[in-house]
Amino acid sequence: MSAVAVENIQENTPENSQETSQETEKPAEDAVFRVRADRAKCCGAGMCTLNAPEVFDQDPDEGLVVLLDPDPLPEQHRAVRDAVRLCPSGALSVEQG
Amino acid sequence: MTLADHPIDRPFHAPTDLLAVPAARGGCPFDPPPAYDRAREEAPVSRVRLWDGTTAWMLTRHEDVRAVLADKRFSADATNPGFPFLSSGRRVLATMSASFIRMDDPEHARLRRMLTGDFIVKRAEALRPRIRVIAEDLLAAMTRDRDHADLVPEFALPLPSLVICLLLGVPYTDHAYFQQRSNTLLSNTASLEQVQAARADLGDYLAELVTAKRGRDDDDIIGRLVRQDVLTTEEIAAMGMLLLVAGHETTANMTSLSILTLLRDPEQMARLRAEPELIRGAVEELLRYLTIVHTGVARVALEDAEVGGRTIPAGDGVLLMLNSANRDDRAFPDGDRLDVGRDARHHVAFGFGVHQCLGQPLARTELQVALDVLLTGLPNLRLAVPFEEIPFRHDMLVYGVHSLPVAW
Repeated sequence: MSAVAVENIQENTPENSQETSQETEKPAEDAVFRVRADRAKCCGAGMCTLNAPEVFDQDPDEGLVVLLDPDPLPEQHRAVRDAVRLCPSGALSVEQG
Repeated sequence: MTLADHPIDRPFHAPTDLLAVPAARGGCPFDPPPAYDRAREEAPVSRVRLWDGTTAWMLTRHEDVRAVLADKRFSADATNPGFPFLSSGRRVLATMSASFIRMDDPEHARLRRMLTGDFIVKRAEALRPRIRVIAEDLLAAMTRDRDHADLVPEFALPLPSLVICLLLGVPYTDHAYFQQRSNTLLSNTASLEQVQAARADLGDYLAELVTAKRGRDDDDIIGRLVRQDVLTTEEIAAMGMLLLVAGHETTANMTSLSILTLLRDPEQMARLRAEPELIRGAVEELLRYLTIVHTGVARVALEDAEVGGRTIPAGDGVLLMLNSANRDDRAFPDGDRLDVGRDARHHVAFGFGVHQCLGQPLARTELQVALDVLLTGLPNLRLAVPFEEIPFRHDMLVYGVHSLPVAW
């Protein structure tokens, strides 16, 4: 774990996370880009499903997050970062390295 | 907890030179009060004075508002001492058999999760064709043999009202009864007695509906909650009231206010008509720009907490000005400008944190459909009265217009 940066994009300022600079500074082919979703924290607002539907879904009973793909392809990384920063309950995070 | 045990008096009364909130708007009825703009630049965490002479902290920056809404040290439970209220009516509403929006986790999560499945993104998408049919029927009825109408009662209000009635299992034929009470509940000027009476009427109405659904097999939210048999009749009625009131007032006001905003901004209107694929982003931008929950969201600090470089002491009330946060240039460059092409998804019009609007996927779908149906169906849509005569809802918890006379 120590070599892996745990990025909780929610802590970033909106300006930082809106910029595409992250995409250019960090090559898309990160060795690690692992998504985590904590159903205990989830409040079912659906921002993840709305913004990264290839990676997140909501279960139809409780409406809580379902992680469809913990290791998404590079073309999904931007949408995942958006989902992490837009998640209201801090239920999502990404490990990058 | 009854009203009588709620601590009315706070340790001190506010100096009169503090800003009184809610503050008045300035010249433009779409913009937040100028006093909030000044506070955001000069004193983003500042003490303000409430109607009863008590004080609270007002937060105006996007970053601070988001941080507090996501911070469990700030409670949404209005029975906590120090919780700030905007009127005596608000106090009654927040403390009388409160719904889960006025609770903290884990109780809040337990109750909210009984409903989250009903409002998931996929369910709202599945409802889209049905919402479109309702919207097109309303438009057809409104335009039949006429060239003008009041958009509020003929389209903006019935659309979300019909949809939430369908989902909840409330007969829409009763709409005059519950809309009138709902209006009183959301009024900042209604007396304590009026709010209590409206609250009691709606509570009784929904409790009767819950009782009537016992033993039936109704395929709607109230019917399901009855069958689950976890909540009492009163608890289901309280949940039903929250969904009924929140479910139609908010979308209704966003619809009419969005149309008025676009009519006043022909350039943005033309762009949206020319590029209909912008509608999803345009709805987020209109949610940001208009922020109809305009009087602030209340919390109380459970422990000392630093926000925006200041320490908010335990027991102090906090008002989070969503409308100011949504105009913060730090989060939305040139924030006072409406731009239907911008990425406004990080707005806080639906709040933030675990209380963020449960019905937001439904609200988005309704707004996207409503605006599309109106802009497509009425290419010559225009105001039927001078702009200065439009009655804005300065007196209501949810901002908007009381009526919107339009012609086509």
